[in-house]
Amino acid sequence: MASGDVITGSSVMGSSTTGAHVLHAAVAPASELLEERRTLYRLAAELFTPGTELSDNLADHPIVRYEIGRVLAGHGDLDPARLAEVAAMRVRDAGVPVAADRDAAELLEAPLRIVAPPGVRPLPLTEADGERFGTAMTIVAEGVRLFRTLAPDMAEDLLAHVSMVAVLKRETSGGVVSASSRYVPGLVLIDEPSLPIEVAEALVHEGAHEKFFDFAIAKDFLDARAEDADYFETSWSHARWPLEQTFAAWHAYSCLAQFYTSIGTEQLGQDSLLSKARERADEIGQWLLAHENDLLEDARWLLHALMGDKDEPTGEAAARSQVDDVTLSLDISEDCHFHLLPDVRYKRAATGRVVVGRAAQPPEVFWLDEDASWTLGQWRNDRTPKTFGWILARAAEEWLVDHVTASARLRKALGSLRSSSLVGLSDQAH
Amino acid sequence: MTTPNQPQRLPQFPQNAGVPVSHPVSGVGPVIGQPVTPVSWFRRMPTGGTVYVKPTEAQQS
Repeated sequence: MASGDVITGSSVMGSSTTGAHVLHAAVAPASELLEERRTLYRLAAELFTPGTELSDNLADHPIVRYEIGRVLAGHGDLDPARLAEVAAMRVRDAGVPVAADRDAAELLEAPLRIVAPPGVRPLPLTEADGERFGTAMTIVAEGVRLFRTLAPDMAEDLLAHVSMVAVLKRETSGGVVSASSRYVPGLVLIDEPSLPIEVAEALVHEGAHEKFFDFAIAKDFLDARAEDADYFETSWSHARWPLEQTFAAWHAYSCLAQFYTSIGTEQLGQDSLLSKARERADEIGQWLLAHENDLLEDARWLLHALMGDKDEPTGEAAARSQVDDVTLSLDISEDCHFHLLPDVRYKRAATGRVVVGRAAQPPEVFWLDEDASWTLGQWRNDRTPKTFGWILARAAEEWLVDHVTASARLRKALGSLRSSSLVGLSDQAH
Repeated sequence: MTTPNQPQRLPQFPQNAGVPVSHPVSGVGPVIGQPVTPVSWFRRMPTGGTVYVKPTEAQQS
């Protein structure tokens, strides 16, 4: 049995006996998560530059995602020429794509700047560095192979979210061992390695972050309230982290702790966190359990599951989704007309989920549940207003439920679509 | 994957350690959210920001 399948040993408080990859898949299998992530970025690209179609390769590219993310944050416009430029960036295959382009320092300027410690300007190793780059590539490739050998299921699960690795020249890295940024998702930066195990550990650590980044945009993990939540203070360094970073760190330490059980007699790297990972994961996890009301449903579920807690989330947090429900007013008659607002665009992922966007300032993006997706889909062929009664009749027929049930579900879907300014009430006749 | 409008419950995973388990069926995990869920992940997208980096012991993530 591969060690990555299941963590061996007795079930203890603060850790799950089930592999992280299994729990991740219960939230969303990696292939589905990637599909939904690509759909979101494709929608965004079309919102800002109509007619733009992103290939999988382009939709996965960290710099393309950085550029789209900037625009989604309301900063500037999307430049298709820039997307084409970064797409042409040369990479080398080491089991994962590794930045190799002689212009990588320029093309990766944003992530290099973001992760740089004060006063440091990290530079990537590239093909221009000749044999030194070749040596690093060999160690990276061995590290990827080692990861896949020691923990094959975890490797498959996490590496799916690593779109590119960049190796930093040791003399320029300023002490960075490995790094990633939510603003440049998919890119993992690692210090010039000496041992394959260093690469393997970095891929577990940063791969866990990359997985979290994808969860955060496609599933219910965090919302704006996270910014006002308490900060976590580590006992080992007294650093203070906001909730988002705390969750990401807990998730990474949890994955590192599971990976540690699979390495056998493998000698650890000089800066390894593996031996400390379980204790830190437990410390952070206990704090998160005490603050779970600030997390959304999927994050709470993963927290409980990875912590080995068999109890469902309860209390205020569990009740919040009910409290937040928006239902269309009961005095809406069947003659009331609804229309899709003109600047609304949407895409359906192969998983069936629909992501919808408005090119407002700042832009807005939403995931829809099945009923809201179905409701929005009533305007797929034409954007003419529809009466509540017309939509209701179709809903009852297609959902195979009675009118009372269909009406309640439709009112909830339309109410939520209206409150999000995706659908409006109209006086126009159908 | 969340599946709206259906009762959800946590999956029951095997408790006996060391036994391989299959992936749970997609959708048996988290409870459902709202019909329309805003993606607020991008709203704090400055030129810098939260970075997970471990340059020294004191700043490890």
